[in-house]
Formats: sequence, structure tokens, C-alpha cells
Amino acid sequence: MNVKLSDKWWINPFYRFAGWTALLWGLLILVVSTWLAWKGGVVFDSIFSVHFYPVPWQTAFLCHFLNWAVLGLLMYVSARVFSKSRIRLVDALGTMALARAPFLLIGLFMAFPAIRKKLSGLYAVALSGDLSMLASPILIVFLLLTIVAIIWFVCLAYNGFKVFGNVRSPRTIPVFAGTLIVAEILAIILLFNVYRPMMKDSTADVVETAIQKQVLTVEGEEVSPDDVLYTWTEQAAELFCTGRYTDFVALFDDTMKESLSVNQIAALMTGLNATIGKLDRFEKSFIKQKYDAYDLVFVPLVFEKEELTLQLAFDQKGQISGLYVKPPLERK
Amino acid sequence: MLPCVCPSCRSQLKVKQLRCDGCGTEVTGLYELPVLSRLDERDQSFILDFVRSSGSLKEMAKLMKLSYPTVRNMLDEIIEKLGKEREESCNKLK
Repeated sequence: MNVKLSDKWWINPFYRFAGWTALLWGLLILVVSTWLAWKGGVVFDSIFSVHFYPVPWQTAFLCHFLNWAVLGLLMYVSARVFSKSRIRLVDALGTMALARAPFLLIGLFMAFPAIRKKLSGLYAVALSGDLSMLASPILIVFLLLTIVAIIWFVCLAYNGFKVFGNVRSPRTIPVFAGTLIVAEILAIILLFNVYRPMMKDSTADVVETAIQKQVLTVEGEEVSPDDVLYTWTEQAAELFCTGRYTDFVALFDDTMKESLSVNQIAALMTGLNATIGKLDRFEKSFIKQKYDAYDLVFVPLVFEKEELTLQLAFDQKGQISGLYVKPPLERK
Repeated sequence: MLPCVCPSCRSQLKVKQLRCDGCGTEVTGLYELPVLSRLDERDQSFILDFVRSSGSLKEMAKLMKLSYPTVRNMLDEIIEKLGKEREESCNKLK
């Protein structure tokens, strides 16, 4: 029996799977692909987009799930308007969820720690304005995979719409295309008005200042080893410099924990390692400065090729309320 | 399976003669095929399965190992064909 390309299971599984089956499997794949991609610093922030920047996990999930829901609902409405058949919402949501399955490829690609590390480094380099990273083979593979995933998704979404919507030719393609465009526009509106305000891209702020070729001038006094501030700073710097980011983040206050994640710190350090080499040590000569109710402490960091300064802000309880990586210290 | 389309010119066939096996009586005339008989074998089989499933598309989908919307689309196609049949019959009466 000759099977048409359009009937093959990887192009049109919806002859056999729709409704609750498609919805449950589709949601499972959505969760796994979102989580794997997020771990690698990738977010699916609109219907077609795949972007590489660190975000809180809640934002990553909200982006992907809300965009799927918008697409499913719009496809349902279009089918109700243009089709004479009885349309079920579960079929619309299920087929559109399963249609997102190709994005799992990106999640699986980002699951490899070596690839995550390399792409995180490229991201940090890109922030410094160095565009030579565009020639990186891993980035090229990532881009190709993204293109394949998007094309495959559109094929699946079209076949899903054809099956559950039963919009008769010649209206099928124009109705589908029009609905997809409206869904993408809505997703972009959500991106700029809902998702972006939720994202605190402190990584960019932290790295940008450090990469600039400047010297940091600080007016302050050296922290005495007898001072409790010395103990707090030494502990924090030790954790930061030895890569124990989970324990480091445990020293943050609640606001900092929401602003800067372990993932983002790892991405920051990967970026710095890619540009100025590995972090060798920190100097135990801390400078302190009072700022309102906080104590700012400046810790010299020695990398392979450069020196930078880690600026920590401690509250009265010894919790870290602020963190910056700044140019090397010049004491006044 | 009763043929319903002329193998030569593809026109709709009609029934000319019916025979009783019990007493040998033959009834001759020119009768239209019943509407359901004019559908192809696949569609007739679908309708029979539909009735046996008490009109449940969910049951049909399980039976045919297809998705619900696929089975629904098949039913919609048959409804459309029957609608066309009715239109043609009305046009002939006019």
C-alpha cells in the first residue's frame, strides 16, 4: 500500500491521535522540552521563536504554555467559524500541544552539559559585542535544529488543524495561515507586556560593566579579619570562586533569590571564563563601604588574563542583597 | 455487492427486475436504487458500524483505531454525499 507523505505518523499523527490522548502526551512533551531548554538557558518566547537568554523557570513555562494555549484557542475559534463540523476544544488544544513536539529536539540538544556550557559562553561573549561567535559550529547546529523544529511544527500544526477543524479546501490554507499569524502577533504582545517585565536580566548588567576596560575607584577601608563582615565575605567569595553556586545562592536574601538564579550565575561565569580565562583565586583583602543600611564589600578576583572585582552588598543579617562583577579595583 | 454505477458510462444504475426465490415470481419495472445502496462499499460499511455503535462516534473511533475528529470527518463526508443525492433527486422530480 502506498502511503502518502502527509499520512506518515511523524507528519500527521492526528488521524490516530487527537483529543485527550494528544493533549496529555502533548502537555508532557511541553513540560519536558521547556524544562530541558530552560536548564540550557533557552526559552520559547513566542509561537515561532527560540531565544537564548537566562530567565526564571516560571517565565520559561509561562511563555511556552501560554503561547500553546493562545494558538489552540485561536485555531478552535477559526474552525468553529469556517467549518460546518462539530468541533471539540480538546481536539484543538490536543493537536496544537502535540504539534509543539519538535521543540523537544532543542531541549534534548541543550540537555548535554558540554553544549550548555559552550552556548552559555557564547551568549556572554555576544553581550560584549564580539560577533565572531556566530561562526561557532555548535551555534550553527543549534540554529539549524531550530529551523527544522519550526518547519516541522508548522507541518504538524497544519495537519492537526486539517483533521480537527475539517475546514474544506480551498479555505484550509488561508484560514490556517491567518490564524497562525494572529497567534504570533498575540504572542509577541504577551512577550513585551507580560514576559519581558518578569525577566530580570541581571546577567547582562553584571557582565556588561565587567567587560568594559575601566578601573573601579572605591573610597573605603579594609575589612579587618576580626570583623564579622570579613567572615561573611570570605565564606561567600569561597563559594562563588569554587563554583558552589547553590550554596552561594543560599546566602541571598529573598529578593536576590528571585532576581538571580544559580543558572544565571553559571552562565555569567561561563561567559567570563570564555573571555578572560578561568577564575584563579580571590584576594583576601576586602574593602568595605557603607551604603544606607547595607555594607558593600569589594573582593578582588584574579582570572587567568585579567582582574575584576566582586561587589557584594550585605544586610544586617549577613544576607547578600546585591551582587555585581566590576572592573579591577584601584584603591583611593 | 450490488453495483450501483454503470461500468460503461458511469451513470447511476436502476433496478429492472427482482426475483422471488420462494415461488419463482419475477417483478419487472424500472426502480431507483435505495439511497444507501448508491453509496460505495466503504461508506455503507461505515454506516452499518455507526448504527451498531448506537451512533457513538467515540465507539466508532475505538473500533476503527482512528481519532475522533477523523471519524467525524468521514461521517460529514457521507452526510454531504447524501445531501447531494437528495438534491439530484429533487432536481429530477422537477
